[in-house]
Amino acid sequence: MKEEKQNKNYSTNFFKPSSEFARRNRNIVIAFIIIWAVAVFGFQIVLKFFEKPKPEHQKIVFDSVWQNIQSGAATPAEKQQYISTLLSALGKSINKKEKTIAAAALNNAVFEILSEEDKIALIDELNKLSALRAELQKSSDKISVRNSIREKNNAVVKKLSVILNLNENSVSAQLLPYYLSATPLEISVEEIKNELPKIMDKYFIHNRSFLTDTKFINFPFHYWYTAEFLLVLFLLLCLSYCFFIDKLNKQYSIEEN
Amino acid sequence: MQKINFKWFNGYLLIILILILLLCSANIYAATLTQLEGSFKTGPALILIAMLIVFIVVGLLNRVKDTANYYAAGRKISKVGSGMAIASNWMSAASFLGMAAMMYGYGYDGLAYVVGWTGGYVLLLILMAGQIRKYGKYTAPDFIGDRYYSQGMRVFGALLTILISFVYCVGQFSGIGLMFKWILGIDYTWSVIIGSIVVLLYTLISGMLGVTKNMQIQYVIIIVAFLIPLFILTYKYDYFWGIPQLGYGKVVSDIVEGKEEAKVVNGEKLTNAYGNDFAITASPEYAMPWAKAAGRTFFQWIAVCFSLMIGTAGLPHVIQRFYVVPKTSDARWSVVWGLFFICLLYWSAPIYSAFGKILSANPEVGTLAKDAIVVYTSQLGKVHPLIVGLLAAGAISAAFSTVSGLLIAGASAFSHDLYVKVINPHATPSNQLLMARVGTIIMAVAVAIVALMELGLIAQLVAIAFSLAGCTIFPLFLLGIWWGRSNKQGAIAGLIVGCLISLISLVYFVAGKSGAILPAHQFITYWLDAWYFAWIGAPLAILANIVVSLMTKEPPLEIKKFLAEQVHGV
Repeated sequence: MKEEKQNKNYSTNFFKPSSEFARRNRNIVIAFIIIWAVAVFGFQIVLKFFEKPKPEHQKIVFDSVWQNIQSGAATPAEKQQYISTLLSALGKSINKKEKTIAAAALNNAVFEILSEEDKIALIDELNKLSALRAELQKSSDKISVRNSIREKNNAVVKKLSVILNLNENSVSAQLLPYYLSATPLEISVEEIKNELPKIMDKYFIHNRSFLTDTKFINFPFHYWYTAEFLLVLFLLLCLSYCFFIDKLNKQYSIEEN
Repeated sequence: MQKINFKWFNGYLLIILILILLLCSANIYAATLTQLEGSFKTGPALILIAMLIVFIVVGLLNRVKDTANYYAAGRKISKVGSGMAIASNWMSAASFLGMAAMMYGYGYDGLAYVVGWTGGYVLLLILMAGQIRKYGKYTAPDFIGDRYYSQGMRVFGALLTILISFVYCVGQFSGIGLMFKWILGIDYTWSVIIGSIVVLLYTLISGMLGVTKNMQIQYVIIIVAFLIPLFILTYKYDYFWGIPQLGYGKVVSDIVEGKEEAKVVNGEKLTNAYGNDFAITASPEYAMPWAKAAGRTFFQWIAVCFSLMIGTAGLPHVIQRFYVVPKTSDARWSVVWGLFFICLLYWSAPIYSAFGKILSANPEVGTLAKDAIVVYTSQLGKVHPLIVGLLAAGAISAAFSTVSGLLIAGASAFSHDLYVKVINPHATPSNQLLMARVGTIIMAVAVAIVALMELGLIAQLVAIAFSLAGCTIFPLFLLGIWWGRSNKQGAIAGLIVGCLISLISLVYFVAGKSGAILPAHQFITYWLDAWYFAWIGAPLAILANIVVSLMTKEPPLEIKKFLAEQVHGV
């Protein structure tokens, strides 16, 4: 009894398998973990390696007009472009603080472009709109109030689209009635000057590479790979491990209870 | 005698449960059109009641009386069936609601949760499933106490199990609260309170039933509720709807490139429920990796993903499922099927976020609670209210099945591993049962209180439980199974390191939530954030275990012998 204890030390060590079966199991496990790790983390590292910060088109437009907007030397066309970039920013899910700053900039720019007459007309429309919105909270006939809000919105969009050179059916033009305000917003020009370029940098520059720009069944490739392919791979790994180990058990005639 | 009592007890609880839900339905008034919430929804409430009753009745019909019968029943369940049970056990509010919320809010960063919560199964299968089954214990604390030959370790394991179950439950309760809020149209606090009472009653009833076979049915209902709206959404908005999981690629691309004008189909412009165009300004930040706009970095992606993966392989209630399968080979095959059934949901969750992004693009919609985005998306997409109701009820039952499992696991760790083994070894069975029930109630109340604090998104809260498990239990199982030299001292050292890191992270997390600034706050919260501290905690705990084990004397021969002969079958 004592002898047996000394001869056999019953060591279990993943890296030093004591039987042929354990050795083969170890090799399979190591191979699978390598495939698993490379597929998950290796791909993200590759993604990171190739990525380059790439600005959206609207960011390039913004950069080209921003200097002139600040100095007040912008041409009407440049102002229109500037407004369209602001609308693009407001269309994204940006946070509340950033939204007020972009909205203030939008208000300043739009009112600057309008003639005196248009300005008064717009303020009048906007006042009516906010009255309707206040009514919506109280009214019992929400549907009809909503419809009149929609009509007013469309009227504002239609009128401004012509002046601002926007497509009136576009989602950006439709943002106008929500962010224009009859009373000036309490954001200083100074603050807009400081904060707006930061907002544009934050939301309009993205990490892109051929991996993100290639399409695969309409997905951006990297998105499809991570969201769908990796899960398929996990399933395949699990499936093949089960086949392997069942075969191995048969080979070494190991009975599992 | 005892049994008759149980039956009555169940009956009473069931009646109370139905009464509460009916009482809620009593103040029926018409839901206002185009209102996302804030009104009572009769249809969904009735669906929810029906669903819970079906689960309980199925449980009653399949009731098994004792452990021996249970194993006999267990053998009859096919591999596919036990795969469904694994999936149903796994799919919670975090999968059902939380994941879509992460992608809706943080874009590509949210995919770290999808990959993390599936990739962990590969580790679980190739490193643990079969071996855990061969070790043949019943609970995680049992394994820890036995393998590391220490009563103290068993107690500590039990405490950890309770803590992990607790944290896991907090996220579930916020999900339950949100869905009750949606169905009942009341504020969040009351929703959590009512939801907690209902889930507690449900747990007490299903806990009394013993081990039930209703998990397969639960899985089918949950997955069907989740998938139906996706076919409707892809069909309605003119994408490839045959397989929405493939068809939504175009939706993602539309978000990235922008869809300035709504498409016109059959002469009608595609709109959301408010009548806003189905259009969105170009938002590449939705899909581009670690976008500055989402405020997440490459490191955080990797850390979240890794922490969730090892956490999966260390969660007590997940590991425990492998003890009950009759054959080792079945333990492995059930993982494959389980993962497949889980993937069905995980392939689909991003579709909700993508549609939600476009449907909520107009400022008229306003800011939506991210964690309810699955339901809001279906509403905004004009899916029939009853189908949306089914979806919400599905979310609640996903949370319920997980919560009742966790509460029972926590309570049994308390009554079986702590109370009987340590506090009162002479406890009678009825005394034990009472303690389990009291434990369940105390835990549910405590969880509800924490859930009311709204500490984070569901997926994030649940991620804390994963990191905790990854730092503490995962190293114990990994080394315990694969390295016979690992001893009690090493295990203690590893646990100390794992717990210390968890503690630092959680203290900073709680302090940050209450507005306090601790030394090096920025540094610690970035590198040891509560959602992913296991990325470093687990490796350090493993290292500590190895170093201290090598410095101290070998574990007893019988432990090594058992491990070598029984578990690794030499």
